[in-house]
Amino acid sequence: MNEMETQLSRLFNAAVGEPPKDVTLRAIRRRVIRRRLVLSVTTTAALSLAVAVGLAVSANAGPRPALNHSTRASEPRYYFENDFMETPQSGRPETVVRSVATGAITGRIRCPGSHRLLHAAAAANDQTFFVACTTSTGAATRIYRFVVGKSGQVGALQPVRGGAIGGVRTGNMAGTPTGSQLAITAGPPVAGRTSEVIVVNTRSGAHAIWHAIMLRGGVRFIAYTLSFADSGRELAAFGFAACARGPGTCRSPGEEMVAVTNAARGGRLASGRVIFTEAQLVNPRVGWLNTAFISPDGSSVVTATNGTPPMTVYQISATTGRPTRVLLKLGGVRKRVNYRFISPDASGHFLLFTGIQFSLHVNELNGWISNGKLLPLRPEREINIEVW
Amino acid sequence: MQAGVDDFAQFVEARQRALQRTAWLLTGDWALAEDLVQTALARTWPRWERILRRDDPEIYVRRVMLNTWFTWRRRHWRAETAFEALPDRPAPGDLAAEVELRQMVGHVMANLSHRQRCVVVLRIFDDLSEAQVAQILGCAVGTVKSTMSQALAKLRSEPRLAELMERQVQ
Repeated sequence: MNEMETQLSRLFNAAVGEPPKDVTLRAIRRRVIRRRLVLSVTTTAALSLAVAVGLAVSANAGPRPALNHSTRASEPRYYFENDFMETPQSGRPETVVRSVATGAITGRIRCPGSHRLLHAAAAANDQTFFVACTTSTGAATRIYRFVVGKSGQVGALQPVRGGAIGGVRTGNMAGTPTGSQLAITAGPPVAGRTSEVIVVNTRSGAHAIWHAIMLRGGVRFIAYTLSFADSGRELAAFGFAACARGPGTCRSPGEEMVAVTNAARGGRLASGRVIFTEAQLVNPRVGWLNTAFISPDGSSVVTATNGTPPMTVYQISATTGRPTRVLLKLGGVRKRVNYRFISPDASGHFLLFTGIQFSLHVNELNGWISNGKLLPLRPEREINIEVW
Repeated sequence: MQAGVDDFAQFVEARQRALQRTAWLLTGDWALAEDLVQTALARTWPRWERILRRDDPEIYVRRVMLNTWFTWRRRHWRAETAFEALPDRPAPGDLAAEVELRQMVGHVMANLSHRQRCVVVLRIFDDLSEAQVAQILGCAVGTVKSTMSQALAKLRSEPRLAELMERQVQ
């Protein structure tokens, strides 16, 4: 081997590393059996097909079982957060995985390559997370996936298939529980102007686009937060419906949540149903909502009010848009609390909460909601991104 | 018959990781690499005893693996990667640096044709002789030499490769 070949050999060895899984004799045996089945006589294949069709028909005949939202999932053990504290090594904000119980850092994540800025994150489930990384101009995004193991260790950081998005500025993100789909808000490369939602099939890399350029009555929808229901079939977008031709040129409902079915198809957000508008919860002249998420079974929505003390986190009905439960109340007129964002886990039961309390001093609030109380999480400083 | 099964099991145990690494360099994806190796071994197993009598099993399996990959490429096979649960492993070092290195090697390799990529991987990574590579690819030794020379010329003109090699030396 000449020098170049030797260097290439070293490089390949360093890049390849070790396979994550072994190929076992059992797996090969299964594949041999499958091959033999496929290659067997036509009558067997036809019979199998008939049986499969029969089974499929019988499986679809009855009503589809609804997701049991009342089943209590276990509390997440780890969360992923990015605060504004810069690390001395990189000079960039540190992004870490922490233990809920102790606050200890169990893993660190940084964006690889030229897409250095981590600007959004989403949890598919309690083990699989997505992060969106952008270039310094924000004009190109690369989405990565990583897993958090049972003891909080971080691994398998890899680019998501279909996760390279160029020419638009991306915003918030949401993933389905299996991680097979994710949605991200996007728009022209001007800060805060999202005009579409891109749904990425992370298995095939295919994109479906939901346009929100113009809704009914001259309104343009700017999506803030996204969430999936019905195993990824329904996509709910919460955002602000602004007058497309400037303030006061239309009757804007303000903040609202729109849900579309068949999320993987794409189309116009205007074709979706409006689940609720902010006027159903607050007086839009003084109050506002930052965030709303639909539950995994699509039956309820979690949102919270700002500007009309006390700050209240509501569970509302996805059918009527009316509050069905108060999950948390904080602050009052003298000790005002505003929340920054709320982030549900994959089950929709457990909510991360970050906010700010104004009294004599300004206190940062970071915690999770349990039985009407806010249980603190570290760090107690301003949080940029937090998911679990 | 049992001896054949035992031989095959030993071969799988001993060589599956090396085969997967070669497959990763071809596909750039661990799930696809695992799938490719499984497919190649599943196609080889029914003929195992005959292969042992007539051929070098390692060469045979690699030939099947490359032919399968060529077929997938011809069909523009872009099926989903087969993982429901992602492989879980601890992060001993800087994960992002590993991803960067893999992405850059992937970009560099993507500039080669499929045949050039096969020759480079088999000659340089698997350290096979030109004759063995020719046997696997079913071509003349001269073809392997010329393909290798063209591939290296292409790699030399790749600025990212020089940068990568420099980093590796550091």
